[in-house]
Amino acid sequence: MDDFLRYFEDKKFVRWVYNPTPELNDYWQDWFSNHPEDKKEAEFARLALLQLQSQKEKVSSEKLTAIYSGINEGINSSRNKPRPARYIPLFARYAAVALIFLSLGVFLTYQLTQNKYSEAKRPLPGSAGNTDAQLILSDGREIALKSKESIIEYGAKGKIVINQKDTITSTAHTVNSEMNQLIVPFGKNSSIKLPDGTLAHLNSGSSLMYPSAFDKDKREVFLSGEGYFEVVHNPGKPFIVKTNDLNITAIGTIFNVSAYPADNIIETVLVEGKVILADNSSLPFKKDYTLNPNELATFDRQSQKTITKDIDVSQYVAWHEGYLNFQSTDLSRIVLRLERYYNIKVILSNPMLGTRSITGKLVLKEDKDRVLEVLASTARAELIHIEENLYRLK
Amino acid sequence: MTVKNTSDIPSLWGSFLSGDDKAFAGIYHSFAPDLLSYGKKLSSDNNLVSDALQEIFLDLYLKRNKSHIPVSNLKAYLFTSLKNTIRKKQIRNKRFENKEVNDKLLGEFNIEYSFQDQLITMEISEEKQARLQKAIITLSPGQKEIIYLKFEQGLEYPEIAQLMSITIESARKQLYRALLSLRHVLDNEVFLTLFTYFRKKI
Repeated sequence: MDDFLRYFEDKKFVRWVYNPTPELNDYWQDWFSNHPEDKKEAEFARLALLQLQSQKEKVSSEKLTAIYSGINEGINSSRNKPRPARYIPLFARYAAVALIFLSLGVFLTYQLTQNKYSEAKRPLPGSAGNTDAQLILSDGREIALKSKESIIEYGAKGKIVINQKDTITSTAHTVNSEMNQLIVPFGKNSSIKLPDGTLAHLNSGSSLMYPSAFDKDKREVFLSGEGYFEVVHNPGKPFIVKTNDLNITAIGTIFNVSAYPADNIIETVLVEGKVILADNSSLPFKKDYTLNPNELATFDRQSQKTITKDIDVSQYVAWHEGYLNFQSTDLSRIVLRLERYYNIKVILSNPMLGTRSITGKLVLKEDKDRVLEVLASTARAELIHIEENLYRLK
Repeated sequence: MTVKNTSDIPSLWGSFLSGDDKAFAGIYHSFAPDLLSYGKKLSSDNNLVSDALQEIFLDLYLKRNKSHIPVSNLKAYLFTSLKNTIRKKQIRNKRFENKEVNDKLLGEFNIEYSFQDQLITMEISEEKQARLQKAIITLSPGQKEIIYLKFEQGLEYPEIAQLMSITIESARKQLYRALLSLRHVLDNEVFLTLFTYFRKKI
C-alpha cells in the first residue's frame, strides 16, 4: 500500500514503541541514524501508536481466580457426569477456591522461576532447592550461610567476616569491581555491611549483587526482592539500588525497597534523608520522583506509573528488626509476607478472608505456628496445620 | 497479573495436551487478562464476559483431545471463541428480555483510550494532540477493533479477518484508512519526538 504504513507493519517497531528495552533502543537509534529520511514517518507512527493505546484496566487476581474456580467446577462435574457441564452460574464459583489457590501457587512458582532479572546474571540457586543463604564471590567461590540469620561484614584489605567469627579473604579487592552476590532464600534473612560501610538487610527470597569495591564516582548494587538500606553519607558518590524496573539513588539515607519479581509493584519507603527514583524501563519522557521521609512510592510494573503517599514507615521497615507492623493491612498481604519470611504456604479457604483488614504488631518468632495462631485469632479465623509448611486459614 | 513473557506458551500447551493439568492453569493465566480486556470492549456486562471466559476455557479443557489447535493459532482461537460466546449470550439475553435483537448494536466495539499525557511534554503542541485524539475517537468501531487487535494484541491480518468476519483485504484497507485519517490531522507537523527521545538516552 503506502510507504507510511511500513513502520506500523513492523512488529519490532511496534514492540519498541509499547515496550522499549535497551536493545530495541539501540537497534532503532542505529536504524534511524542510517535512515534519516524515514524519521518523519516513523515519528508519526510512534506518536499514533502511543495515542492508540487503550486504557489499561486493572484485572484483579481475585477475579481471575474466581473465574478459574468456575472452570474447575465444570471440569469436575463433567468427570462425574457423562455429559459435559456447560454453564456454571457465577454464584457457584467460590466453591473450588482452595484448589485454585493451589494452582495459583503453582503458577506463581512458574512466574518466579521464569522471571528474567537482567542484571543478576546468575540464577537464584536459593529458589531451586538450595535452602541455605549463599554468598557467591567474584572469584567463583560459593559460601553457604547455615544459620537462619546471618551477618556479613567487609573489613579492611578484602577480608570478609561472617557472623563475627569466620573470616574469608577475598582475592578480588579494591582494584577491579567484580560482582559478588548474596542470595537469601525464602525462610532466611541476612545482613551485609558493604565495602563502603553501608548496611543492607535482605529479607527472605532476595538477592543482592554488589562489587568487591565500588567505582570512583558511584556505588551501585542490584537488588531482587526486599532490602533495607542504611547508606553511609558520601555526597560525591551516590548510592544506587538498581532493580529490574526502577533505580533508586541515595546519598546518605535510610530506606526500604521491595521489588519481588512475583509482585506487580515495587515499593520504596524512605525513613530519613532523600532518595530519587527513576524508572529504568527506558520509557521516554519518564519522570523522576524525589521521595521525602515517611513517604511511600509505589511503582506499578504494568502501567509503569509511580504513586507516592504519606505512610507510617514502621509498617514497611519493621521486618528487619524482627517484627511486622500493620495498619489496616489486608490479610492476604500479611499472609504473603509471612509465606516469604517462613517459606511456608498458607491457603485462604475463602478469598473474601484475604480482604479483612488487620492492625497491630506481629513479632516474627522462631515458632511460626505461634505467629500464625496470633494472626488467625486477630483475623477471627481458624488455623489448620495441614502438613509441614502448609496451613489453611478458615 | 499478566504474563508478558509468552515465550513459554508452546511448552505449556504441549504439556497440557499430553495431560498435564498444571499447565492448564498456566495457559489460563497467560491468556485470561488479554481475553478479559478484549471481552470488556465487546460487552459492558462484566458477569456476561466472565461467564463467557469460563465457558471457553472449560471447552478448551474438555475438547483437548478432539480439537487440534496448533499453538501458533491458540491466541486467535481463544479470541474468536470468546467473541462468539459473548455474542451468543447477548442474543440470548435480549430474547429473554423480549427486546428486538439488533445485531449491529450488539457487536459494537467499545474502547477507552489512555491518551498518555506525557506526550504533551514532547514536541507536539497541545492543540495538535487534541486534534489527534478527536480523530481517534471518531474512528469507526470496526477500525478501532482492528487497531486494537493488530497493535495491542499483535494478531495477524488473517486472524483479525476471521475474528471480525471480514476479508483480509478489508481488514487491511480499514486499518490503512484509519491511519491515513490520523496522518492528515498532523500532516504539516514537524516531529522532533524521536530526536528528543534519543537525546535523552545518550
